[in-house]
Amino acid sequence: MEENAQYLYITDRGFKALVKGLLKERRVYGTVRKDGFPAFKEISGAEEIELVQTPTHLSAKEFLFPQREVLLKFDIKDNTHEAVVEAGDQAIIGLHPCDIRAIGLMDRVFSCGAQDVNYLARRGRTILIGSDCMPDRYCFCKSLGDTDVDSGFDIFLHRLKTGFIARTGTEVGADLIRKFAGPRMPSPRELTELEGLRTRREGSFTATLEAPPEALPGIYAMSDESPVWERIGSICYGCGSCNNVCPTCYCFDVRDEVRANLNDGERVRTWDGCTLDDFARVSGGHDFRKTRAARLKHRFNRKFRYLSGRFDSLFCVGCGRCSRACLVRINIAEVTNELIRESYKK
Amino acid sequence: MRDFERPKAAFFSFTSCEGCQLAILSCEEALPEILKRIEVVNFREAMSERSDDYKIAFIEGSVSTEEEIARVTKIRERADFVVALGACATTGGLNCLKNRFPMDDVKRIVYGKDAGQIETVPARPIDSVIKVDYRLHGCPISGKEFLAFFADLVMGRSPRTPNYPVCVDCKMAGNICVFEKGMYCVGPVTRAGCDAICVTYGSVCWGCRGYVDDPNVNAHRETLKRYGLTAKGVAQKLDLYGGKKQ
Amino acid sequence: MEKDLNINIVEVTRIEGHGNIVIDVRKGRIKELRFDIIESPRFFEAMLRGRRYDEAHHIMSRICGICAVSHTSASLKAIESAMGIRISRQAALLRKLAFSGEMLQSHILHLFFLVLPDLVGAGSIVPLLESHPELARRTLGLKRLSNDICAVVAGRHIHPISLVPGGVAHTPGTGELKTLKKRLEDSFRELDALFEFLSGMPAPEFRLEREFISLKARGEYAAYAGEPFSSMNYPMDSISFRKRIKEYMVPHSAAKHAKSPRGTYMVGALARVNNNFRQLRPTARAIAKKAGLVPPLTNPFQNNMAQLVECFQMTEDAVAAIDKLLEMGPRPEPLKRPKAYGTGIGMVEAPRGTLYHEYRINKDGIVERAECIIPTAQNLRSIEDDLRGFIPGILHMPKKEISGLIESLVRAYDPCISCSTHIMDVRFV
Repeated sequence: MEENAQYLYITDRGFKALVKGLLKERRVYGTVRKDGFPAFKEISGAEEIELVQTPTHLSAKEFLFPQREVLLKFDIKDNTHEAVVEAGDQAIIGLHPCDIRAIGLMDRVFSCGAQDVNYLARRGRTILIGSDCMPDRYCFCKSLGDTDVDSGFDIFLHRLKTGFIARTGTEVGADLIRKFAGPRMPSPRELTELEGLRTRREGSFTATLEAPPEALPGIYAMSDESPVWERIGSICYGCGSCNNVCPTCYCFDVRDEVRANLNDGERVRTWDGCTLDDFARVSGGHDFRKTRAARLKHRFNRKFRYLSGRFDSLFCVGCGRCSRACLVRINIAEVTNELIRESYKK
Repeated sequence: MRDFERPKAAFFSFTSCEGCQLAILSCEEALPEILKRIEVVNFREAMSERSDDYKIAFIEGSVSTEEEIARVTKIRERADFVVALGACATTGGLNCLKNRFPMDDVKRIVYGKDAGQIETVPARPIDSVIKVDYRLHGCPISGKEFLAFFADLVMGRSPRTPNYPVCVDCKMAGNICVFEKGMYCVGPVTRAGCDAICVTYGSVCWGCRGYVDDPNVNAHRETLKRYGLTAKGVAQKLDLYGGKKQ
Repeated sequence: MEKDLNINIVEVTRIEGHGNIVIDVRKGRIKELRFDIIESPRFFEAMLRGRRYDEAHHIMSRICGICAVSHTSASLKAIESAMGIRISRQAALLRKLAFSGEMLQSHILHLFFLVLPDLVGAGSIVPLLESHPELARRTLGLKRLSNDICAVVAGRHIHPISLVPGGVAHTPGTGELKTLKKRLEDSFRELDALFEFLSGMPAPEFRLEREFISLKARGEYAAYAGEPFSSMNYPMDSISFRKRIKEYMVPHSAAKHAKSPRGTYMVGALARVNNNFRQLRPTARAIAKKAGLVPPLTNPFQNNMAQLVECFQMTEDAVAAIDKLLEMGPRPEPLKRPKAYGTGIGMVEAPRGTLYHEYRINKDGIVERAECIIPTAQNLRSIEDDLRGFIPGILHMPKKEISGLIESLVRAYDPCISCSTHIMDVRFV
């Protein structure tokens, strides 16, 4: 294969045709502006999609790991139950590199140990289409390693002044581009434009971490006694917004809901969040993370330290969503930098 | 079918708009099922029969007269299990807005020279008079929560009350934060369970479910100020349903 | 007939709120007759004082859980008129749609939960679920539909959410509106069934000449829109309404009573059908004729049938509003901002009759004064007058039947006592 074989040019019409083709066979979620803000939404026509460059307020995890899903239906009278897997063919369009990396992490979490059939069934029927981004003042993926992704997607689109450079990451993606989008090889001028875009993006990051990513687990390990936790704990609501907008927070709660006939019901799984008050309360009433400070420390450590041993990766992708969503302005990059500075003093 | 006891239940309304009882009547599909499982012996809004023999009492409304204090006490004596139904009953609700003024002024504002005919005391949640066994929050209550509670109650499971802020429901609903949209709300300190329906339908969280168990009210005061509210505006945001002060 | 009779009905059931009826007849003459309102007063005018204008509709909606859309609408119209806000056509259509949903909901609730048990001699709907399962299923379906109309527009019917100063803060999707329209069109079948049932149970005979007051609108049946009108045809508009209608306290009631320049008058469905018969849409008008509800109307028991006529009307109104919305293509709109301050009046036809809100809002957007005139309060005098006129004709009956008929008469007014104890007007005669 030639060097640029995975780089293809498609026109704006080609992109629309691709979306239209996808819509014929599956549900399609794309980026739109909701009340003026970037968001994912189910779409019914290609014209609804706007490939926004800053992160959506919620990540795309809900399409793979929904806020609420039924795992089981049961019947008390017959004493029977039936497992439920709610999965259908779908595509997500407009994922940024951080989103794609986050989905890669979620894939690992949900296939680690006992496989999560619900997640994996849904994931197996999902086509991922990425698109370019531009950092805002909360984005710091550059400090965590790559700003781009080479894999983890089916198609990745780079928007040019007219048309797109499309990269394909899987055979499925390549087939889709061939089938619907009428690709051709990009011209040298188009490739130069792409390079220009990448350079501009690399130079646009304002939020940076003051230590390399591989140093972070160690720095967090030294920070258990840091005064930072009490300080941010005192202003934290414990509202769980950081958990809910995070593309890699995967904690959930499971409960049985019985209908008013007191006979049939469902076992449902819903999102849960480690910063919420009752998250670490166990039967008997003991709560092993009573304070907001303790819960925040736990969450930050989950992102930069605890999981890095098991998965050999940080669990923060630098999307900045938690900082953006935080009404009391707890900023994950700034907090991390404070810990970094404290560790230098030690 | 497993047999559960069919307890006798009574519904009472105190100072309120009776919207929470209506919310129950609005669970149309489930009504026949509910009536199979509990024997409703008192529901003045919808039936003529009444009885003082009941095990479960659902009480809607705040207590706001001496007569109501006596009546709610009687109900407590008769019932094994008392459920507070909706904001007026659980936190005092909007009724407590009148408590900002002395009661004599309140009567004069509304009834002028006839104020002497009217009796009233500061409005309060029912648990300030009697022990309450369970609270269904909201103005009005959510039918969905009522049905879930109902199933737990009859099956003898311990019912759950959400103890996390409305922000959780709001993010789950995919809403853009109202502060981003240039409005103000009290969702970060308010108990959830409402699916953030007010934000979903273009409004803001007004705080009708009262505070979560451990609200960070100071932090929220700062947030409201930072987003441009005056001290008075902050106080008004927090006291609309603020019958239960922190 | 020289009869003694003492009736004391404690807490009339199957009405909204708490009220007692006290009747004392000595030697065939009524010595005492009172409809006592014993609901605890809530003091909304005090609650609203000093609050921001954009909280007012939210607070005032809580006057009543059943007519929350009406109170919200009247409140919004008062705020918007005080603050120089003109809402868009789409917003007005959406509000009217929610309004139809509420009127439908309230009437169905009244007819099914509160009146039907009377007609079949039951104490509540519970036995009806067994004895008339088909009727129960159909009526519960209608109620569900009316809830859903409000839910699609405003999030829910009890304390609607999206109806806010400056417009409507939520835009329903085309798909939702189309589904609703289909269900509304199908629901005429259910309404027909309810009509068949009700017309098989004629109302007790009782005639009393009376004044009817309602709003009247140009080109449409008055509900969300219109100006006050009296069947006695003397001039009246929203500005003069509060001067024409005198409210006064009576010793036995936590609610005020009201009278017009001519004395006793009635508001509600019967008043609207009487005053606005010509604006009824074709199906509703045909039903009204079939039921013998052709003005001038005199029998308050017929208020139940008038409500059913309005169920047809509201269903047709809702379909028409949806058609217009679909034609425009509903889209999110910014809310209109206040341009002025001062005093504003908002009037609507709540399910139980003419509703009046008036606020004074200062330059900081703070409500300084609020006054309301509420339908049931306007009907209390009429209820007592009707009882006075009705009782002599039924005195020969056994006490139990008399009590039953008296309760039915009160119930026909569909009194909403929760509302009426929240009267805030401070002027007295």
